[in-house]
Amino acid sequence: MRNLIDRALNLAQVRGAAYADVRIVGRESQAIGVKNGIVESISADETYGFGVRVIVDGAWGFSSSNRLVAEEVDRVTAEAVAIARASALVHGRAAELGPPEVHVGSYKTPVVIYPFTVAPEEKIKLLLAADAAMRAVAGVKVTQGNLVCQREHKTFASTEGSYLQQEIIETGGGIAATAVSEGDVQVRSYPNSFARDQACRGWELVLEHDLVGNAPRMAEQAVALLSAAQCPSGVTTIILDGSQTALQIHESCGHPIELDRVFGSEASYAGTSFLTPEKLGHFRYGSNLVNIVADATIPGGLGTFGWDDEGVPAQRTQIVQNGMFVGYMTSRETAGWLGQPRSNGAIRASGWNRMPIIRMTNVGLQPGTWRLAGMIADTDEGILMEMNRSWSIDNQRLNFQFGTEIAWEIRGGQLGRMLKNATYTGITPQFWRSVDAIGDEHELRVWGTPNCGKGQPPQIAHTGHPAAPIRVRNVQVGVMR
Amino acid sequence: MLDQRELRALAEQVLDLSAADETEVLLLGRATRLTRFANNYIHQNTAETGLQIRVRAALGQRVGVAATDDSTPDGLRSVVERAVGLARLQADDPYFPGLPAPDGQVLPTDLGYVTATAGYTAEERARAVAVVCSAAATAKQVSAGAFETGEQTVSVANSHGLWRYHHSTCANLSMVVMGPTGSGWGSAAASDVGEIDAQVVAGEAVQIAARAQDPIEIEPGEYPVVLAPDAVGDILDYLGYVSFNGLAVLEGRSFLSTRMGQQVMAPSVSIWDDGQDPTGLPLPFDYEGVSKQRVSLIQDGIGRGVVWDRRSALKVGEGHSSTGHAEIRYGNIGVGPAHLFMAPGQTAQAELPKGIERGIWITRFWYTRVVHPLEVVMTGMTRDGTFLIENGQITRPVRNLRFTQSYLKALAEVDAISRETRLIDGGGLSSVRAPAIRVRSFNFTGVSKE
Repeated sequence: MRNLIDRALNLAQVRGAAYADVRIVGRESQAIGVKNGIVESISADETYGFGVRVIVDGAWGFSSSNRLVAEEVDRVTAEAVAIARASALVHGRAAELGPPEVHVGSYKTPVVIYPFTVAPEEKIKLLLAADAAMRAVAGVKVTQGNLVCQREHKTFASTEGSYLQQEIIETGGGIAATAVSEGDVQVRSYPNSFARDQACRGWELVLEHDLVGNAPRMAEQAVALLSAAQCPSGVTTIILDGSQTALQIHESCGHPIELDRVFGSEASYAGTSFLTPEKLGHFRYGSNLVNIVADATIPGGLGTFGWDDEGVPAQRTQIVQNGMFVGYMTSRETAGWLGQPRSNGAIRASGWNRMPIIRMTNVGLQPGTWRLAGMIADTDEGILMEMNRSWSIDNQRLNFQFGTEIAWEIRGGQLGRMLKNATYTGITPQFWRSVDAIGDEHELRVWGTPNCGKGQPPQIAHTGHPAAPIRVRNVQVGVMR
Repeated sequence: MLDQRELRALAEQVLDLSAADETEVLLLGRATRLTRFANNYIHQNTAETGLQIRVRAALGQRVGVAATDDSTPDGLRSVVERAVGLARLQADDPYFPGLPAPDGQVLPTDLGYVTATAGYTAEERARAVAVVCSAAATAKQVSAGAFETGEQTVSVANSHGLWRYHHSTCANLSMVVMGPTGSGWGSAAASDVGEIDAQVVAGEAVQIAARAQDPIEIEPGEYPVVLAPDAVGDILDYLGYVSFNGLAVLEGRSFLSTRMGQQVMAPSVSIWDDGQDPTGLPLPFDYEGVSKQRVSLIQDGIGRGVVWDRRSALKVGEGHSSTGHAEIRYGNIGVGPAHLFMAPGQTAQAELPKGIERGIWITRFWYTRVVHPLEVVMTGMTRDGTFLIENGQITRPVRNLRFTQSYLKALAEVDAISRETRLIDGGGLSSVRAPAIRVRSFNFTGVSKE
């Protein structure tokens, strides 16, 4: 492998590249899906290939292939150089990476139980048990569960002298119950919606989630939602559970702090950002209680790694400090645009066939001082909302509308009747400035988002989000038609 | 890219290696190139060449799937062993219908293949992008977008002797053009890159952007709207995913579960799916090799049909069969249409605002999501050209609006449809061909502002 890497880097330089890097990525994944008591799918996928990224004449080129053999390495490298020369025909700001990043080393996700050593039969048994527990509840129409595990081995080398090897291991799982009546469909998911929770952890994550133990509650709530009251419309206090807070962070903080968006690189697809550079250090993003950090070093976070896909070490970056906006997530190139001396290591590609772009690491909220029960008891009137059902936000990440699977009325510090079809809407800084309570370290956990889309051609990133429940005042709720 | 002969030889190697009762191999070949630009210059420029090999092995009613992109003898042996090994672990799947036998239909192998698109170079894309960037810069605007060209092969073989092969190309140019306070949108997709005129597409985006400057804010509420084809394409996409999905009907998640045969949309609305129509981005068979049927979904506003793969058709029982809509991976939410068409009307697109006293023109939607599936209640934003219509004329730009609206009800409120349609590349060998429509009432629930 080292020979082929050197071959690509040498050829790129011979053909005129001022900089080149090579990533060789092999990924194996196992997925099991159960529905209504039947194992509907069981699959074991592998993908393996390499990508060559070059700067020639101040412009970028990238090419990739699934055939890691000498003649294909030569073809792909030559193509990357030719593409860069074509890029230079429509030139703008010259591609520059700033000071060299030279690192040699290896990283491996620490796990307690390596997920591929757990027999598929055991995984199937677990999913079927959870499925049966949901189907035992009268009124449930569809039950589903899934487990995934993934191992990615990545080698990165650059003409600056970096040579890095990483093995990233992920495990995830989840269940969902759907109840249907004439005119209504309601879903409850656990531990997270849209299939599962996922983390850079081993099988221990699945065991901790206790899918079987939580299955009856999900099924009962799905059925109960059919006859629950509609979430009222109005302006009120809301409390979001940790999973919904994680989604709120992802959409309204994580994306607008991606510096490529800020400089317009994603304008055609993912959008831009309201957090423009002149706001850095001067803009009140949230209330004094709000502290947000992007940290690629958190044990178990789905956005945790050793080095990013430019070979920059994983780092912790303050994003919001006591409510003030103080940091972005950067790549080497965009850090330079901002006048920062060094990248904070947030550029990743979804695979060997994609050029890296800025992606969230683990963007999360620092804990506050509240327990959820205390937060509810301290609320005269409001709504507790749990688990995301729908999410939409504008291309600058300002105007959002999110919905949750389930909600409860709060009156006089007590939880009241269950509410369905709960939605809330707002403008990002107004929303975060209205936060007056944040859950403490006991309430905080790291949520995983394995489905974050960005880029052209499209890339799906895996990101992590430490989050605890939050209370927000004066929020418009109940937007539904 | 491997040709048909090489792919067939590869498929036969896989089938020969398998000791399963039934074996299927799906070969997905691709050579795609994408040039991306922002701030009026090329900032990302990529190429990808790959071949994915997916093997489905069945031991009786037990099925395992494995995939690789290693086409060496060792790689093929490994992927077959993994698929068969997983099948051994499975319990019987009562809804596994077996693999399909050849149906005798002779399908085209290169519908939608254009040599010029397959051979389009990075330099040619750069020259087209230069046209876009120059048009934007001349108008003192900033462009950002992507120009993708590529070729794909889809091949399916199974142990019953089925062999399907299709080779196609696609070119897609899309862009946002931005002024200081507003933006415009332009896009074009075709199998033949020669049909894409960068000057025309850029001209449209620049013109919309020029009109979009200094938007006023209007109050959210109910307005009549004109939806341009990209916005209509979003409606059709979501209806396909949420409602025209046979399994969703079976499980009571689609409005067609209880309203098949009923008037559910305006009588002027007809929607169908046709993977063999060359005015889309065709793929004449599905990912288990079944020929794609033309499926009428809505005819004159009446619910007429949904799409099925073989497994979901078996679930619903007698009288149903696959419509040729199996997807690459079996998805437990079911399958959707992949080549949607909406019937054009008689009105020129430019004439659609006529008759609207006060309404809104929407160029496209952004970040749309399902709020409630049964009535297809959606939320999302308008983007890249939202304009006030007053007394039948587009008069001034408005700030982007958030809507919360049932797409089903929107199509029930259609009172005019354009005679022009636009092809929209849906990605993953899917497409939508949509007209512009006029809708009597559309519900806006918020405004984008800091």
